[in-house]
Amino acid sequence: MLVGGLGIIVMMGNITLDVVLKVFWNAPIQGTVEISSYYYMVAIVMLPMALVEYDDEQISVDLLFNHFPDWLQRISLLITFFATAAILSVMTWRTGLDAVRAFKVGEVVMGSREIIVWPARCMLPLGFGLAAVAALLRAVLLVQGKPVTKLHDTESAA
Amino acid sequence: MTMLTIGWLGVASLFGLLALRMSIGIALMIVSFIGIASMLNLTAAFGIVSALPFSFIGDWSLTAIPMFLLMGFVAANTGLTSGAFDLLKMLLARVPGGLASASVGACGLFAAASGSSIATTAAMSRIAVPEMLRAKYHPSLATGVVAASGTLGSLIPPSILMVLYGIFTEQSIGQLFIAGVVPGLISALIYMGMITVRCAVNPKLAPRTAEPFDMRRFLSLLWSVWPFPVLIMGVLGGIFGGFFTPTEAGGMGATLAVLIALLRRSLTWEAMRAAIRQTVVATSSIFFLSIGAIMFTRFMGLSGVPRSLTNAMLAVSDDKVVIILMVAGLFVILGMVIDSIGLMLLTLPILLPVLEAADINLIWFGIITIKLLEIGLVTPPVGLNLYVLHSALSGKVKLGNIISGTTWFIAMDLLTLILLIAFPALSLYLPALMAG
Amino acid sequence: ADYNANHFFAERHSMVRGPYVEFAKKVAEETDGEINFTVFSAGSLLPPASSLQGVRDGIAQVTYHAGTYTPSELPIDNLIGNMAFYNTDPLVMAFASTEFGLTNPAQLAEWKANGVVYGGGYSTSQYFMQCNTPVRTLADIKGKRLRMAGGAWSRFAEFVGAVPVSMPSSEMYTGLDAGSLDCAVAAADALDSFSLKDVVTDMNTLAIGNYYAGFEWGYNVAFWQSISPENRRVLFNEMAYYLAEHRIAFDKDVEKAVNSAKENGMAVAEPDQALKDALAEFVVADEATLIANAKDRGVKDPEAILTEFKALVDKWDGLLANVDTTDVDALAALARSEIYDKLDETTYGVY
Ligand code: NA
Ligand code: NA
Repeated sequence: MLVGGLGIIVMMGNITLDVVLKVFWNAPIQGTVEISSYYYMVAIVMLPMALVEYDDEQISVDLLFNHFPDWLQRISLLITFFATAAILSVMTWRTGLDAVRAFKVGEVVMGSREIIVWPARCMLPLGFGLAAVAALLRAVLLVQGKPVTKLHDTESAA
Repeated sequence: MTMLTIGWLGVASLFGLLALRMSIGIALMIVSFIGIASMLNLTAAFGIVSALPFSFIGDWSLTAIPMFLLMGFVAANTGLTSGAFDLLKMLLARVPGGLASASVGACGLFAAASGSSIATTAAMSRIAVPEMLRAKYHPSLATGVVAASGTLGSLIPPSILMVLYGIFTEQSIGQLFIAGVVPGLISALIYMGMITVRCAVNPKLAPRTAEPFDMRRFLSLLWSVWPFPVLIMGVLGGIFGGFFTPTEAGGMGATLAVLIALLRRSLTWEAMRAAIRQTVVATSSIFFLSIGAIMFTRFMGLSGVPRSLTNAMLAVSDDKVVIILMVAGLFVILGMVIDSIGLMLLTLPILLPVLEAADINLIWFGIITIKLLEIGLVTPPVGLNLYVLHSALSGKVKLGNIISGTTWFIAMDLLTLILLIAFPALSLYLPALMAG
Repeated sequence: ADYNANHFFAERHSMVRGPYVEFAKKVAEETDGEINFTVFSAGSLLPPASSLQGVRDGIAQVTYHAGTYTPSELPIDNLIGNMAFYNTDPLVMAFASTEFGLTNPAQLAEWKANGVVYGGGYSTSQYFMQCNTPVRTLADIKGKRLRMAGGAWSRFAEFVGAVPVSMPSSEMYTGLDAGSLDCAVAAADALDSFSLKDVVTDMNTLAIGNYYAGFEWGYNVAFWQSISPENRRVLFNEMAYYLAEHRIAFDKDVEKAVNSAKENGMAVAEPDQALKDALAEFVVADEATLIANAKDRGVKDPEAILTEFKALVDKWDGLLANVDTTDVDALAALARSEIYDKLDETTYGVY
C-alpha cells in the first residue's frame, strides 16, 4: 500500500516534470512512458492487491447473495475464498516463472531508451501470491466465525 | 464438446460464480483459465496468464486512469469543487434535478479533454457524485448520471475507441471525430431531458432546495467557484494548446488539483493521504477486474462465440436497417461480457464485408458502433464504468443502486441510437460540411 | 483441423490482408482443410509484446512478431533488424532478412531457443518523417519532437539534434493534431491507415530505414512437428508468394496514401544535403553501438554476423535488379528458387 501510494505520487511528478521540461526546454525525461507504464503502474496495481482482497475491496455483485440464508452464504464464501486462492496461485506460479525467465535474459523494453523491466516482472508474482494468502486468511477467519465481508450499507437510500 | 459449446458453458458458469459473490475479476479469470485449458491445452491456458496481465498493466494510455482518479480524489477531499456545486445548486434551484443535469454538462466538457470513457468517469465521479449526495439526491440517480455521462468520453472527440475503429476500417479519424460531436451533444441533451422530467414527476429523486436567491451569498459563492473551471480549463487548454497529450493530461490534472488545493490552503496531510489511499485501492481493484476481463475476451475469441453469433445474426437479412438492428442486438448482448475494444476487434472483421456489400456508410456505422460499445461499458458483469464509479466512491453506494440508476440512461441511449439510425445526417452532416 | 493465426496489425493492412487472410484461405484449400487458420488481427488474441511468448505456448500456431519488442530474447534478430539504414530498399531487406532467418545457423539457434519455427520475414515500406510543420533541412529538424520506433531510430533522432518521443501509434493522430508532436516517423501508408493525412502538412523523402525485425510468420514448434512434410511445403510455397505479394501491396498502399495526401495539400520535400550527410554519418557511427549492444546481450562475434547479413543484402540487391519488381509471380519464383526450395521440409524446424 505504501509503495503503491508512493508510485502514484512519483508517477504524477514524473509525468508533470516531463511535460514541463518538454514545453519549456524541449528536453523530455527519456523513458517516462516506459517507467510509468512498467514500474509505477505495475506497483500501483500489484502491491496493494493483497490488502484490497483482505479488506473485501475487490468488486463483486451481492444482489443474489444477500438473499441467501446464512449457511449458504458461508458456503459460498468458503468456495469463493478457496477458488480465489487457487486461481491466484496459478497466476503466481506462472508470472513467477516469467519473472525468472526475464531475469535470466535480462529483459529490457525498447523505447527511446532501453529500460530494464525484469524487476517490474517480479512484482506480479509478489502481488498475486500475497493476495492468494489473503484469500486463505479470510477463509480461516470465516471458519472462526469472524466477519469477513464489508457491508456497504453506509449510504442512506432515500 | 465443441469449442463453441465450451464458450457458451463458460458464459453460463461466469454468471453462476458471480452469484456466489465471487469477485468479478476472479470469476472471469477462473472461467477463462479452465475454458482455454479445455479448448486448447494447459500450456496455452498458462500462456494466457503470462501473455496478458503484464502487458495490459504496462499500457501507457491506461496511466490516465489512476491520474484522473487522483485528481478527482484530491479535488473532493480538499473541497475544491464544492463552491462550484453550491453555486450551481443556488442557480439551478428551480430546475428539477439541476445538479444532475449540470453533471452531464461537466462530463461532456471533460470528455472533450479525455480520450477515454473510463478516464472521464474516473475524473468526474468523485467530483460530482458526493456533491449530489450532499444535496440529498437519490444515490442511484447521482451515480447513474456519472456512469452514463462518462461514456461521452468516447463519443466526444478525442476518442481512443474512434482512433482504433478508424484504423481498423480505414476511415478518416478526423471525420469520425467530427461525426461524434453532434451525437455526443444529443446524448447529453437527452440525458438532461430525462433527468428533468423524472425529477419533476418524482421530486424525491432530487429534492429542490427552498433556499431563496441571496445576492450576498451569490457573490461570496462566486469567489469560491474558481477552482473547478480552472481545473477543467487547465486540462482542456493544455491539450488543445499542444502542451500535453490526453494521456499526459491525467498527470497534469492531478498536479493542477494539488496546486490549486495548496493555493487555497486546503491541502491537509490527511486529505492528501486519504486521496492517495483511495486512488491506490480503486486502481488496484479496477485493474484486477480488467485483467479478468481481457482474459475472458481471449477465451471468448478462441471459442468462436462472437463469430458464430455474428454470423447467425447477419444471416437474417441483407436489408440495411435489419443489419444495423442485428448489430445493435449483437453488441448489446456481447457487450455484457466482452470489453469494448475486444468486442470491436473480434466482430468487425466479419461485419465489414457485409456492411460494404450493403453499402452502409462506415463513418455513420462507426458512430453507432461507438454508442453501442459505450452501452457495454455500463452493463454488468463486464461494465467497467460501473466499477470505476463504485471504486471511486469507496463502496459508499451499492453496486445494485448504480446499476439500477444506469438503466434509465441506457434506455435513453437506445432512444439516441434510434435517432442516429433514423437520421444519418446527425452523424454525417458536419463531416460533409468540413470536407466541403 | 482448426488453428489460430495472430497478427497485431489491422485486418486490412497489407501485412495482414494477403499474408494472413488470403494465405489462410489458400493454405486451407491446398491442404484439403488439414490446416485451417482462424485469423485474429489487431491484437485481439495476443498483445504485440507477447506474440513471441504466445506462439511458443500454443495460444496461436502462427504469428507475426515485431522483433524490437524482445531485444533480450532475440539479440541476433535485433542486431540485424537495427541495420535498417544499410540498404533502404524494402524489397531487398524483406528477401535478405528472410533468407538470413531461414539459413543463418546462429539465427536458427536463436529461434529454437525461443520455441519458435521461423517461417519468413517481411519489410515495411520506407520510414519517412510526416510532419505538421516543414522539416526539410538539418537546421529544421533540430529540437523537433519525432515519434520514433525506438532503437536505431531514436538514436538517429538524437544524432541530428531532434527529440525522440515514445508514444503509442494510437496517439500519433491527436499528437500531430494538437501539436505535442512535430513528426511521426513511420511508413507513409500511415497517412491513410492512421488518417495522418488529416493532420500532416509536410513529408520529407529522406528514407529513415524500414522496419523488418522479427518475422511475418513464426510457427509453434509442436504444431510444426505435427503437420506432414507435404503440408510444410504448402506453407513454404505460400509464404514465398506472400513475401512478394505483401511488398508490392504495401508500396501500392503507400503510393495511394501519398497521392491522396498530396491532393489534400500535403507538401513533399527533399532533404537538404546536410541532412543526407548526417544520416550517412550516423549509419557509420551507429554500427559500433549495434555491435556493442549485441555483445552486451551475449552474441558471439556480432561482426561476423553483420558481415554475413550484409553479404545477403548485397546478393539480393543484385538479384532483384534483374527482375520485374512489380510482378508478384516472378518475385515469388525467385523467393522459391533462391530460398524455400533449398530447405528440406522433412528436417527444417524439426527440433
Ligand atoms: Na473524448
Ligand atoms: Na458490459
